[in-house]
Amino acid sequence: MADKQLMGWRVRSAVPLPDLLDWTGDDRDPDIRIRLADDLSDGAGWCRFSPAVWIGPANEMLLRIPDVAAFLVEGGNLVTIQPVMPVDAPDIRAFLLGTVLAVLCFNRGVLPLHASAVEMAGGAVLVAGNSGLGKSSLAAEMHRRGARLLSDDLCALDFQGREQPLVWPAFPRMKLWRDSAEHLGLPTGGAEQSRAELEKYHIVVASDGFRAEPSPISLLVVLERHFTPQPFELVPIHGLAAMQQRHVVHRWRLGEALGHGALIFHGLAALARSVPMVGLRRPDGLGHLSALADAVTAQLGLGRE
Amino acid sequence: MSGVYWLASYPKSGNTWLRLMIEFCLGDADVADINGMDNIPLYGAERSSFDEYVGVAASDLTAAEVLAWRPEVLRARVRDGKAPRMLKTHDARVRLPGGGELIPSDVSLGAVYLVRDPRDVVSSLARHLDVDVDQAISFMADDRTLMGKSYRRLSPQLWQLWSGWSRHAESWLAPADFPVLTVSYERMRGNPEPVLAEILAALRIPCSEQRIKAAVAATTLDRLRAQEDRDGFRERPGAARFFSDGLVGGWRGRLSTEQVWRIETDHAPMMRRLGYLP
Repeated sequence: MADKQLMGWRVRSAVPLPDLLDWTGDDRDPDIRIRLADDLSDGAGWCRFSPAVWIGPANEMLLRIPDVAAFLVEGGNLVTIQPVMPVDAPDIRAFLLGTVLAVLCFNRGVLPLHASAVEMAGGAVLVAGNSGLGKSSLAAEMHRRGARLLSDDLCALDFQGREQPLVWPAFPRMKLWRDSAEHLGLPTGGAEQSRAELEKYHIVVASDGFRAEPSPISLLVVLERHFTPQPFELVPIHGLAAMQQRHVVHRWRLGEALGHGALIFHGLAALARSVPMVGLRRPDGLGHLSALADAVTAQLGLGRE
Repeated sequence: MSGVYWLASYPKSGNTWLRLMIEFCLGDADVADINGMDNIPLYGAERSSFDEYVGVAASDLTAAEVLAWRPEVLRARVRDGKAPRMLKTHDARVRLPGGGELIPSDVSLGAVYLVRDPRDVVSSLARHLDVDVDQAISFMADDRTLMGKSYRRLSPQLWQLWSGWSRHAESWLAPADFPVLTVSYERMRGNPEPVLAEILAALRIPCSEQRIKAAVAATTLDRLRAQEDRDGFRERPGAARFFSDGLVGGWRGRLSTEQVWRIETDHAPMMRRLGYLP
Protein backbone atom coordinates (compact mmCIF):
# COMPACT_ATOMS: atom_id res chain seq x y z
CA MET A 1 0.00 0.00 0.00
CA ALA A 2 1.22 3.50 -0.86
CA ASP A 3 2.11 5.78 2.04
CA LYS A 4 -0.49 8.39 2.89
CA GLN A 5 -0.42 12.00 4.04
CA LEU A 6 -2.18 13.27 7.11
CA MET A 7 -1.63 16.70 8.64
CA GLY A 8 1.70 16.94 6.86
CA TRP A 9 2.89 13.60 8.18
CA ARG A 10 3.93 10.60 6.16
CA VAL A 11 1.80 7.62 7.27
CA ARG A 12 2.60 3.98 6.54
CA SER A 13 -0.38 1.81 7.44
CA ALA A 14 -1.24 -1.88 7.46
CA VAL A 15 -4.88 -0.82 7.57
CA PRO A 16 -6.24 0.61 4.31
CA LEU A 17 -6.85 4.35 4.59
CA PRO A 18 -8.79 5.22 1.42
CA ASP A 19 -9.92 8.55 2.88
CA LEU A 20 -6.37 9.91 2.94
CA LEU A 21 -4.40 11.36 0.03
CA ASP A 22 -1.27 9.53 -1.13
CA TRP A 23 2.05 10.84 0.14
CA THR A 24 3.64 13.12 -2.44
CA GLY A 25 6.32 14.70 -0.26
CA ASP A 26 10.01 13.93 0.21
CA ASP A 27 11.50 10.51 0.78
CA ARG A 28 11.66 10.78 4.54
CA ASP A 29 10.97 7.82 6.81
CA PRO A 30 7.32 7.53 7.79
CA ASP A 31 6.35 9.87 10.61
CA ILE A 32 3.64 7.46 11.77
CA ARG A 33 3.47 3.69 11.41
CA ILE A 34 0.21 1.78 11.83
CA ARG A 35 0.68 -1.96 12.25
CA LEU A 36 -1.40 -4.97 13.16
CA ALA A 37 -1.04 -7.32 16.13
CA ASP A 38 -3.17 -10.00 17.72
CA ASP A 39 -2.26 -9.73 21.37
CA LEU A 40 -2.96 -6.21 22.61
CA SER A 41 -3.66 -5.91 26.31
CA ASP A 42 -3.11 -3.63 29.21
CA GLY A 43 -0.78 -4.78 31.96
CA ALA A 44 0.50 -3.91 35.40
CA GLY A 45 0.62 -0.22 36.16
CA TRP A 46 -2.11 0.68 33.66
CA CYS A 47 -4.98 2.82 34.77
CA ARG A 48 -8.52 2.76 33.49
CA PHE A 49 -9.55 6.13 32.11
CA SER A 50 -13.00 5.02 30.96
CA PRO A 51 -14.84 1.84 29.93
CA ALA A 52 -13.08 2.19 26.55
CA VAL A 53 -9.68 3.68 27.38
CA TRP A 54 -6.69 2.58 29.47
CA ILE A 55 -3.54 4.62 30.06
CA GLY A 56 -0.15 2.94 30.48
CA PRO A 57 2.82 3.82 32.69
CA ALA A 58 4.57 5.65 29.83
CA ASN A 59 1.33 7.38 28.77
CA GLU A 60 0.51 4.76 26.18
CA MET A 61 -3.16 4.79 25.31
CA LEU A 62 -5.19 1.64 24.72
CA LEU A 63 -8.63 2.13 23.19
CA ARG A 64 -10.88 -0.90 23.05
CA ILE A 65 -14.19 -0.95 21.16
CA PRO A 66 -15.19 -4.56 21.83
CA ASP A 67 -16.88 -5.43 18.53
CA VAL A 68 -14.56 -3.36 16.34
CA ALA A 69 -10.87 -3.32 17.35
CA ALA A 70 -8.33 -2.42 20.01
CA PHE A 71 -5.90 0.41 19.31
CA LEU A 72 -2.62 1.07 21.10
CA VAL A 73 -0.90 4.43 20.68
CA GLU A 74 2.73 4.64 21.81
CA GLY A 75 4.29 8.08 21.53
CA GLY A 76 3.72 10.07 18.38
CA ASN A 77 4.93 7.52 15.86
CA LEU A 78 3.36 4.16 16.45
CA VAL A 79 -0.16 2.77 16.42
CA THR A 80 -0.87 -0.94 16.81
CA ILE A 81 -4.29 -2.31 15.96
CA GLN A 82 -5.84 -5.62 16.92
CA PRO A 83 -8.85 -5.83 14.64
CA VAL A 84 -12.03 -7.69 15.51
CA MET A 85 -13.72 -6.64 12.28
CA PRO A 86 -12.02 -7.04 8.88
CA VAL A 87 -9.14 -4.54 8.55
CA ASP A 88 -10.89 -2.62 5.79
CA ALA A 89 -14.10 -2.08 7.80
CA PRO A 90 -15.00 1.62 7.97
CA ASP A 91 -15.79 1.09 11.66
CA ILE A 92 -12.06 0.73 12.40
CA ARG A 93 -11.31 4.05 10.67
CA ALA A 94 -14.08 5.78 12.66
CA PHE A 95 -11.93 5.39 15.79
CA LEU A 96 -8.51 5.47 14.11
CA LEU A 97 -9.26 8.85 12.53
CA GLY A 98 -11.08 10.05 15.65
CA THR A 99 -9.76 9.38 19.15
CA VAL A 100 -6.52 7.71 17.96
CA LEU A 101 -5.65 10.60 15.64
CA ALA A 102 -6.38 13.11 18.42
CA VAL A 103 -3.97 11.27 20.74
CA LEU A 104 -1.31 11.18 18.00
CA CYS A 105 -1.69 14.95 17.64
CA PHE A 106 -1.26 15.48 21.38
CA ASN A 107 1.79 13.20 21.43
CA ARG A 108 3.33 15.03 18.45
CA GLY A 109 2.94 18.44 20.11
CA VAL A 110 0.09 19.85 18.04
CA LEU A 111 -3.34 20.55 19.45
CA PRO A 112 -6.20 18.49 18.00
CA LEU A 113 -9.19 20.77 17.48
CA HIS A 114 -12.72 19.48 17.46
CA ALA A 115 -13.55 21.54 14.41
CA SER A 116 -14.49 21.34 10.79
CA ALA A 117 -12.64 23.83 8.60
CA VAL A 118 -12.99 25.45 5.20
CA GLU A 119 -10.80 27.93 3.36
CA MET A 120 -12.27 31.43 3.14
CA ALA A 121 -10.83 34.92 2.96
CA GLY A 122 -7.33 33.55 2.47
CA GLY A 123 -7.38 31.56 5.68
CA ALA A 124 -9.14 28.78 7.50
CA VAL A 125 -12.57 29.29 9.01
CA LEU A 126 -12.90 26.79 11.84
CA VAL A 127 -16.30 25.62 13.02
CA ALA A 128 -15.95 24.12 16.48
CA GLY A 129 -18.34 22.89 19.13
CA ASN A 130 -19.68 19.77 20.75
CA SER A 131 -21.11 16.88 18.73
CA GLY A 132 -24.59 17.37 17.45
CA LEU A 133 -24.42 21.13 17.00
CA GLY A 134 -23.88 21.02 13.24
CA LYS A 135 -20.15 21.58 12.66
CA SER A 136 -20.05 19.24 9.67
CA SER A 137 -23.31 20.52 8.21
CA LEU A 138 -22.25 24.17 8.39
CA ALA A 139 -18.81 23.42 6.92
CA ALA A 140 -20.45 21.32 4.21
CA GLU A 141 -22.78 24.21 3.36
CA MET A 142 -19.81 26.58 3.01
CA HIS A 143 -18.01 23.95 0.95
CA ARG A 144 -21.10 23.63 -1.25
CA ARG A 145 -20.82 27.37 -1.88
CA GLY A 146 -17.30 26.93 -3.19
CA ALA A 147 -14.97 27.04 -0.18
CA ARG A 148 -12.29 24.36 -0.17
CA LEU A 149 -12.51 21.88 2.72
CA LEU A 150 -9.62 21.52 5.15
CA SER A 151 -11.13 19.13 7.62
CA ASP A 152 -14.30 17.59 8.92
CA ASP A 153 -14.44 17.19 12.70
CA LEU A 154 -10.71 17.19 13.50
CA CYS A 155 -7.81 19.42 12.47
CA ALA A 156 -4.51 20.23 14.16
CA LEU A 157 -3.31 23.53 15.59
CA ASP A 158 0.41 24.01 15.08
CA PHE A 159 1.39 26.88 17.36
CA GLN A 160 4.64 26.04 19.15
CA GLY A 161 7.46 28.37 18.13
CA ARG A 162 5.18 30.32 15.76
CA GLU A 163 4.03 33.91 15.91
CA GLN A 164 0.83 33.01 14.03
CA PRO A 165 -0.63 29.53 14.57
CA LEU A 166 -1.37 27.36 11.55
CA VAL A 167 -4.03 24.76 11.12
CA TRP A 168 -3.16 21.46 9.40
CA PRO A 169 -5.82 19.91 7.21
CA ALA A 170 -6.98 16.33 7.67
CA PHE A 171 -8.31 14.49 4.61
CA PRO A 172 -10.78 15.12 1.77
CA ARG A 173 -13.83 13.49 3.26
CA MET A 174 -16.93 14.61 5.12
CA LYS A 175 -19.06 12.54 7.48
CA LEU A 176 -22.71 13.50 7.25
CA TRP A 177 -25.90 12.04 8.67
CA ARG A 178 -28.49 11.20 6.06
CA ASP A 179 -30.74 14.13 6.99
CA SER A 180 -27.87 16.62 6.58
CA ALA A 181 -26.68 15.11 3.31
CA GLU A 182 -30.19 15.22 1.88
CA HIS A 183 -30.68 18.78 3.09
CA LEU A 184 -27.45 19.74 1.27
CA GLY A 185 -28.46 17.85 -1.87
CA LEU A 186 -25.59 15.36 -1.54
CA PRO A 187 -26.39 11.84 -2.72
CA THR A 188 -25.72 9.08 -0.20
CA GLY A 189 -26.52 6.19 -2.54
CA GLY A 190 -23.44 3.97 -2.68
CA ALA A 191 -21.63 6.07 -0.07
CA GLU A 192 -19.82 4.15 2.66
CA GLN A 193 -21.47 4.14 6.10
CA SER A 194 -19.26 5.01 9.02
CA ARG A 195 -20.82 2.22 11.14
CA ALA A 196 -23.18 -0.35 9.64
CA GLU A 197 -25.92 0.55 12.14
CA LEU A 198 -25.68 4.31 11.65
CA GLU A 199 -26.94 6.32 8.70
CA LYS A 200 -23.82 8.44 8.79
CA TYR A 201 -22.15 8.56 5.40
CA HIS A 202 -18.65 9.20 4.09
CA ILE A 203 -18.86 11.84 1.38
CA VAL A 204 -15.65 12.05 -0.63
CA VAL A 205 -14.47 15.53 -1.57
CA ALA A 206 -12.86 16.01 -5.01
CA SER A 207 -9.18 16.96 -4.99
CA ASP A 208 -9.85 20.49 -6.28
CA GLY A 209 -12.31 20.98 -3.43
CA PHE A 210 -9.73 20.23 -0.76
CA ARG A 211 -6.84 22.27 0.56
CA ALA A 212 -3.98 20.00 1.61
CA GLU A 213 -1.58 22.74 2.75
CA PRO A 214 -1.56 24.27 6.25
CA SER A 215 -3.25 27.59 6.63
CA PRO A 216 -3.46 30.56 8.99
CA ILE A 217 -6.80 30.93 10.74
CA SER A 218 -9.11 33.78 9.81
CA LEU A 219 -11.98 32.97 12.18
CA LEU A 220 -12.95 30.45 14.84
CA VAL A 221 -16.70 29.95 15.14
CA VAL A 222 -17.81 28.14 18.31
CA LEU A 223 -21.27 26.62 17.95
CA GLU A 224 -23.43 26.66 21.06
CA ARG A 225 -26.90 25.26 21.60
CA HIS A 226 -29.25 28.02 22.53
CA PHE A 227 -32.98 28.41 22.60
CA THR A 228 -34.19 31.78 21.43
CA PRO A 229 -37.09 32.89 19.31
CA GLN A 230 -34.45 34.26 16.88
CA PRO A 231 -32.89 31.81 14.43
CA PHE A 232 -29.39 32.45 15.81
CA GLU A 233 -27.15 34.91 17.58
CA LEU A 234 -23.47 35.84 17.05
CA VAL A 235 -21.49 36.83 20.12
CA PRO A 236 -17.79 37.78 20.06
CA ILE A 237 -15.59 35.79 22.46
CA HIS A 238 -12.62 37.61 23.98
CA GLY A 239 -9.91 37.26 26.60
CA LEU A 240 -10.61 34.94 29.49
CA ALA A 241 -13.77 33.58 27.85
CA ALA A 242 -11.64 32.60 24.84
CA MET A 243 -9.20 30.78 27.15
CA GLN A 244 -12.12 28.84 28.60
CA GLN A 245 -13.19 27.27 25.30
CA ARG A 246 -11.61 23.98 26.30
CA HIS A 247 -14.25 22.04 24.39
CA VAL A 248 -12.79 23.23 21.07
CA VAL A 249 -9.98 20.77 21.86
CA HIS A 250 -10.70 17.27 20.57
CA ARG A 251 -10.97 14.95 23.61
CA TRP A 252 -9.42 17.51 26.00
CA ARG A 253 -10.13 15.40 29.07
CA LEU A 254 -8.23 12.44 27.62
CA GLY A 255 -5.45 14.84 26.56
CA GLU A 256 -5.13 16.07 30.13
CA ALA A 257 -5.06 12.51 31.46
CA LEU A 258 -2.24 11.75 29.03
CA GLY A 259 -0.20 14.62 30.48
CA HIS A 260 -0.90 17.26 27.83
CA GLY A 261 -2.49 19.88 30.09
CA ALA A 262 0.25 22.42 29.30
CA LEU A 263 -0.12 21.88 25.54
CA ILE A 264 -3.88 22.48 25.85
CA PHE A 265 -3.35 25.60 27.95
CA HIS A 266 -0.74 27.11 25.63
CA GLY A 267 -2.73 26.17 22.52
CA LEU A 268 -5.85 27.88 23.84
CA ALA A 269 -3.74 30.90 24.78
CA ALA A 270 -2.35 31.03 21.23
CA LEU A 271 -5.89 30.90 19.84
CA ALA A 272 -7.16 33.54 22.25
CA ARG A 273 -4.22 35.81 21.39
CA SER A 274 -4.20 35.59 17.63
CA VAL A 275 -7.51 34.31 16.25
CA PRO A 276 -10.83 36.19 16.11
CA MET A 277 -13.39 34.06 17.90
CA VAL A 278 -17.14 34.24 17.77
CA GLY A 279 -19.85 32.19 19.47
CA LEU A 280 -22.72 31.17 17.22
CA ARG A 281 -25.75 30.32 19.33
CA ARG A 282 -28.36 28.33 17.49
CA PRO A 283 -31.21 25.95 18.13
CA ASP A 284 -31.08 22.31 17.06
CA GLY A 285 -31.95 21.26 13.57
CA LEU A 286 -30.96 21.94 10.01
CA GLY A 287 -33.11 25.00 9.54
CA HIS A 288 -31.31 28.25 8.80
CA LEU A 289 -28.14 26.50 7.59
CA SER A 290 -27.92 28.88 4.68
CA ALA A 291 -28.50 31.92 6.91
CA LEU A 292 -25.82 30.66 9.30
CA ALA A 293 -23.34 30.41 6.42
CA ASP A 294 -24.29 33.97 5.37
CA ALA A 295 -23.69 35.19 8.91
CA VAL A 296 -20.24 33.59 9.05
CA THR A 297 -19.36 35.07 5.66
CA ALA A 298 -20.51 38.51 6.81
CA GLN A 299 -18.47 38.14 9.97
CA LEU A 300 -15.37 37.52 7.84
CA GLY A 301 -16.07 40.64 5.80
CA LEU A 302 -16.06 42.67 9.01
CA GLY A 303 -12.93 40.93 10.22
CA ARG A 304 -11.04 41.90 7.08
CA GLU A 305 -11.40 45.70 7.26
CA MET B 1 -23.06 8.44 49.84
CA SER B 2 -23.33 10.78 46.89
CA GLY B 3 -25.65 10.18 44.00
CA VAL B 4 -28.76 11.33 42.23
CA TYR B 5 -32.52 11.27 42.73
CA TRP B 6 -34.54 10.14 39.73
CA LEU B 7 -37.75 11.50 38.28
CA ALA B 8 -38.62 8.49 36.19
CA SER B 9 -41.52 7.83 33.87
CA TYR B 10 -42.46 6.45 30.51
CA PRO B 11 -42.62 9.45 28.11
CA LYS B 12 -45.75 11.62 28.18
CA SER B 13 -46.74 10.67 31.70
CA GLY B 14 -46.59 14.06 33.37
CA ASN B 15 -42.84 14.21 34.04
CA THR B 16 -42.49 17.74 32.64
CA TRP B 17 -45.35 19.07 34.73
CA LEU B 18 -43.89 17.49 37.85
CA ARG B 19 -40.47 18.87 36.99
CA LEU B 20 -41.94 22.38 36.59
CA MET B 21 -43.55 22.18 40.03
CA ILE B 22 -40.33 20.96 41.63
CA GLU B 23 -38.28 23.65 39.88
CA PHE B 24 -40.81 26.21 41.16
CA CYS B 25 -40.39 24.90 44.72
CA LEU B 26 -36.60 25.07 44.45
CA GLY B 27 -36.66 28.72 43.38
CA ASP B 28 -38.34 31.86 44.59
CA ALA B 29 -39.89 33.24 41.39
CA ASP B 30 -43.62 33.97 41.16
CA VAL B 31 -44.06 32.31 37.79
CA ALA B 32 -43.01 28.92 36.45
CA ASP B 33 -40.73 29.25 33.41
CA ILE B 34 -41.00 26.34 30.97
CA ASN B 35 -37.70 27.42 29.44
CA GLY B 36 -35.89 27.78 32.72
CA MET B 37 -35.82 24.20 33.98
CA ASP B 38 -32.11 23.74 34.57
CA ASN B 39 -31.99 21.81 37.85
CA ILE B 40 -33.36 18.51 36.59
CA PRO B 41 -31.75 17.63 33.24
CA LEU B 42 -32.52 14.50 31.28
CA TYR B 43 -30.37 11.40 31.82
CA GLY B 44 -29.27 11.01 28.20
CA ALA B 45 -28.80 14.70 27.44
CA GLU B 46 -25.14 14.47 28.49
CA ARG B 47 -23.69 13.95 25.00
CA SER B 48 -20.67 16.21 25.45
CA SER B 49 -19.90 14.81 28.92
CA PHE B 50 -20.13 11.32 27.46
CA ASP B 51 -17.66 12.12 24.67
CA GLU B 52 -15.15 13.63 27.10
CA TYR B 53 -15.51 11.06 29.89
CA VAL B 54 -15.35 8.04 27.59
CA GLY B 55 -12.80 9.58 25.24
CA VAL B 56 -14.79 8.48 22.20
CA ALA B 57 -17.53 10.34 20.32
CA ALA B 58 -20.92 8.80 21.08
CA SER B 59 -21.88 9.73 17.52
CA ASP B 60 -19.48 6.99 16.32
CA LEU B 61 -20.99 4.37 18.62
CA THR B 62 -23.91 2.01 18.21
CA ALA B 63 -26.94 2.25 20.49
CA ALA B 64 -25.77 -0.83 22.45
CA GLU B 65 -22.32 0.69 23.02
CA VAL B 66 -23.78 4.01 24.16
CA LEU B 67 -26.27 2.34 26.53
CA ALA B 68 -23.53 0.15 28.02
CA TRP B 69 -21.32 3.14 28.84
CA ARG B 70 -23.85 5.78 29.93
CA PRO B 71 -24.01 4.44 33.52
CA GLU B 72 -20.21 4.61 33.76
CA VAL B 73 -20.28 8.23 32.68
CA LEU B 74 -22.87 8.99 35.35
CA ARG B 75 -20.72 7.27 38.00
CA ALA B 76 -17.70 9.30 36.93
CA ARG B 77 -19.68 12.55 37.01
CA VAL B 78 -21.01 11.74 40.48
CA ARG B 79 -17.47 10.95 41.65
CA ASP B 80 -16.24 14.29 40.25
CA GLY B 81 -19.13 16.19 41.81
CA LYS B 82 -20.28 17.13 38.29
CA ALA B 83 -23.62 15.32 38.33
CA PRO B 84 -26.85 17.17 39.08
CA ARG B 85 -28.74 16.27 42.26
CA MET B 86 -31.77 15.17 40.27
CA LEU B 87 -32.17 13.59 36.85
CA LYS B 88 -35.25 13.08 34.76
CA THR B 89 -35.29 9.78 32.91
CA HIS B 90 -37.43 7.84 30.46
CA ASP B 91 -35.09 4.84 30.56
CA ALA B 92 -36.37 1.50 31.79
CA ARG B 93 -34.57 0.29 34.93
CA VAL B 94 -33.19 -2.83 33.30
CA ARG B 95 -29.96 -4.78 33.11
CA LEU B 96 -28.07 -4.42 29.86
CA PRO B 97 -26.73 -7.35 27.84
CA GLY B 98 -23.33 -7.04 29.58
CA GLY B 99 -25.07 -7.37 32.97
CA GLY B 100 -24.72 -3.76 34.10
CA GLU B 101 -27.63 -1.65 35.32
CA LEU B 102 -28.78 1.17 33.04
CA ILE B 103 -29.89 3.06 36.17
CA PRO B 104 -26.89 2.38 38.41
CA SER B 105 -28.06 1.56 41.96
CA ASP B 106 -24.71 2.46 43.50
CA VAL B 107 -25.21 6.15 42.67
CA SER B 108 -28.98 6.27 43.13
CA LEU B 109 -30.37 7.87 46.31
CA GLY B 110 -34.04 7.58 45.50
CA ALA B 111 -36.66 7.87 42.80
CA VAL B 112 -40.15 8.98 42.02
CA TYR B 113 -41.83 6.83 39.38
CA LEU B 114 -44.76 8.43 37.59
CA VAL B 115 -47.24 6.20 35.78
CA ARG B 116 -50.14 7.17 33.56
CA ASP B 117 -52.95 5.25 31.87
CA PRO B 118 -51.38 3.97 28.62
CA ARG B 119 -54.58 4.81 26.77
CA ASP B 120 -53.97 8.47 27.62
CA VAL B 121 -50.22 8.21 26.98
CA VAL B 122 -50.67 7.03 23.43
CA SER B 123 -52.23 10.07 21.74
CA SER B 124 -49.73 12.34 23.39
CA LEU B 125 -46.89 10.02 22.36
CA ALA B 126 -48.11 9.94 18.77
CA ARG B 127 -48.04 13.74 18.64
CA HIS B 128 -44.64 13.84 20.35
CA LEU B 129 -43.09 11.41 17.87
CA ASP B 130 -45.03 12.73 14.90
CA VAL B 131 -46.45 9.29 14.09
CA ASP B 132 -50.04 8.03 13.94
CA VAL B 133 -51.74 6.49 16.95
CA ASP B 134 -51.44 2.95 15.61
CA GLN B 135 -47.67 3.31 15.27
CA ALA B 136 -47.49 4.76 18.77
CA ILE B 137 -49.39 1.72 20.06
CA SER B 138 -46.80 -0.51 18.39
CA PHE B 139 -43.91 1.46 19.95
CA MET B 140 -45.52 1.03 23.36
CA ALA B 141 -45.79 -2.73 22.88
CA ASP B 142 -42.17 -3.22 21.78
CA ASP B 143 -39.63 -3.91 24.53
CA ARG B 144 -36.80 -3.08 22.13
CA THR B 145 -37.98 0.51 21.65
CA LEU B 146 -34.98 2.74 22.21
CA MET B 147 -36.58 6.10 21.72
CA GLY B 148 -38.71 7.47 18.97
CA LYS B 149 -35.73 8.89 17.10
CA SER B 150 -34.24 7.45 13.95
CA TYR B 151 -30.71 6.68 12.94
CA ARG B 152 -30.96 9.23 10.11
CA ARG B 153 -29.75 12.18 12.08
CA LEU B 154 -27.75 12.87 15.18
CA SER B 155 -30.10 13.56 18.05
CA PRO B 156 -28.83 16.03 20.63
CA GLN B 157 -29.68 13.29 23.12
CA LEU B 158 -27.88 10.00 23.63
CA TRP B 159 -29.64 6.71 23.00
CA GLN B 160 -32.16 5.85 25.70
CA LEU B 161 -34.00 2.60 26.29
CA TRP B 162 -37.70 3.28 26.71
CA SER B 163 -38.63 -0.33 26.22
CA GLY B 164 -42.36 -1.11 26.02
CA TRP B 165 -44.87 0.52 28.37
CA SER B 166 -45.48 -2.63 30.47
CA ARG B 167 -41.81 -3.56 30.64
CA HIS B 168 -40.97 0.01 31.65
CA ALA B 169 -43.46 -0.04 34.53
CA GLU B 170 -42.41 -3.53 35.56
CA SER B 171 -38.75 -2.49 35.69
CA TRP B 172 -39.42 0.48 37.94
CA LEU B 173 -41.90 -1.34 40.19
CA ALA B 174 -39.45 -4.19 40.80
CA PRO B 175 -37.63 -4.24 44.17
CA ALA B 176 -34.77 -1.74 44.14
CA ASP B 177 -31.70 -1.01 46.25
CA PHE B 178 -32.99 2.54 46.74
CA PRO B 179 -36.44 3.86 47.67
CA VAL B 180 -38.84 4.31 44.74
CA LEU B 181 -42.08 6.20 45.28
CA THR B 182 -44.66 5.28 42.65
CA VAL B 183 -47.21 7.98 41.87
CA SER B 184 -49.92 7.94 39.26
CA TYR B 185 -50.48 10.92 37.00
CA GLU B 186 -54.19 10.56 37.65
CA ARG B 187 -53.75 10.95 41.41
CA MET B 188 -51.40 13.90 40.92
CA ARG B 189 -53.93 15.61 38.60
CA GLY B 190 -56.77 14.88 40.97
CA ASN B 191 -55.12 16.14 44.10
CA PRO B 192 -51.85 17.87 43.22
CA GLU B 193 -50.93 19.59 46.47
CA PRO B 194 -50.68 16.61 48.85
CA VAL B 195 -49.16 14.44 46.12
CA LEU B 196 -46.49 17.05 45.40
CA ALA B 197 -45.77 17.30 49.12
CA GLU B 198 -45.30 13.54 49.25
CA ILE B 199 -42.95 13.63 46.25
CA LEU B 200 -40.88 16.50 47.65
CA ALA B 201 -40.47 14.58 50.90
CA ALA B 202 -39.25 11.53 48.98
CA LEU B 203 -36.73 13.75 47.16
CA ARG B 204 -35.64 15.38 50.46
CA ILE B 205 -36.61 18.84 49.24
CA PRO B 206 -37.90 21.07 52.03
CA CYS B 207 -40.75 23.32 50.92
CA SER B 208 -43.52 25.25 52.67
CA GLU B 209 -47.19 24.38 52.21
CA GLN B 210 -47.75 27.85 50.81
CA ARG B 211 -45.04 27.42 48.20
CA ILE B 212 -46.46 24.03 47.18
CA LYS B 213 -49.86 25.65 46.67
CA ALA B 214 -48.24 28.35 44.57
CA ALA B 215 -46.37 25.74 42.51
CA VAL B 216 -49.63 24.04 41.57
CA ALA B 217 -51.28 27.36 40.75
CA ALA B 218 -48.36 28.50 38.62
CA THR B 219 -48.32 25.34 36.50
CA THR B 220 -51.91 24.96 35.36
CA LEU B 221 -52.08 23.71 31.79
CA ASP B 222 -53.67 27.00 30.70
CA ARG B 223 -50.63 28.89 31.93
CA LEU B 224 -48.14 26.45 30.43
CA ARG B 225 -49.92 26.49 27.07
CA ALA B 226 -50.05 30.29 27.09
CA GLN B 227 -46.31 30.46 27.74
CA GLU B 228 -45.57 27.90 25.05
CA ASP B 229 -47.66 29.87 22.53
CA ARG B 230 -45.87 33.07 23.45
CA ASP B 231 -42.24 31.96 23.86
CA GLY B 232 -42.02 28.44 22.45
CA PHE B 233 -40.67 25.51 24.46
CA ARG B 234 -37.01 24.60 24.10
CA GLU B 235 -37.61 20.92 24.86
CA ARG B 236 -40.30 20.49 22.24
CA PRO B 237 -39.09 17.93 19.73
CA GLY B 238 -41.18 18.84 16.71
CA ALA B 239 -43.77 21.18 15.34
CA ALA B 240 -46.68 19.98 17.47
CA ARG B 241 -47.48 21.83 20.67
CA PHE B 242 -45.98 20.12 23.73
CA PHE B 243 -48.50 21.00 26.41
CA SER B 244 -51.81 19.47 25.48
CA ASP B 245 -55.02 19.16 27.49
CA GLY B 246 -53.52 16.67 29.97
CA LEU B 247 -56.95 15.18 30.52
CA VAL B 248 -57.47 12.13 32.65
CA GLY B 249 -59.55 9.69 30.60
CA GLY B 250 -59.31 11.84 27.48
CA TRP B 251 -58.76 8.66 25.45
CA ARG B 252 -62.51 7.92 25.54
CA GLY B 253 -63.22 10.49 22.86
CA ARG B 254 -59.99 9.97 20.94
CA LEU B 255 -59.24 6.32 20.38
CA SER B 256 -61.16 3.88 18.20
CA THR B 257 -62.57 0.75 19.81
CA GLU B 258 -59.89 -1.27 18.05
CA GLN B 259 -57.11 0.95 19.32
CA VAL B 260 -58.40 0.67 22.89
CA TRP B 261 -58.63 -3.09 22.46
CA ARG B 262 -55.03 -3.29 21.22
CA ILE B 263 -53.64 -1.33 24.17
CA GLU B 264 -55.70 -3.25 26.73
CA THR B 265 -54.58 -6.54 25.18
CA ASP B 266 -50.91 -5.55 25.01
CA HIS B 267 -50.77 -4.31 28.58
CA ALA B 268 -53.57 -6.11 30.46
CA PRO B 269 -51.54 -7.51 33.40
CA MET B 270 -49.74 -4.25 34.14
CA MET B 271 -52.88 -2.17 33.65
CA ARG B 272 -54.67 -4.40 36.16
CA ARG B 273 -51.76 -4.18 38.57
CA LEU B 274 -51.88 -0.39 38.42
CA GLY B 275 -55.66 -0.20 38.62
CA TYR B 276 -56.29 0.95 35.05
CA LEU B 277 -58.35 -2.17 34.34
CA PRO B 278 -60.66 -3.99 36.71
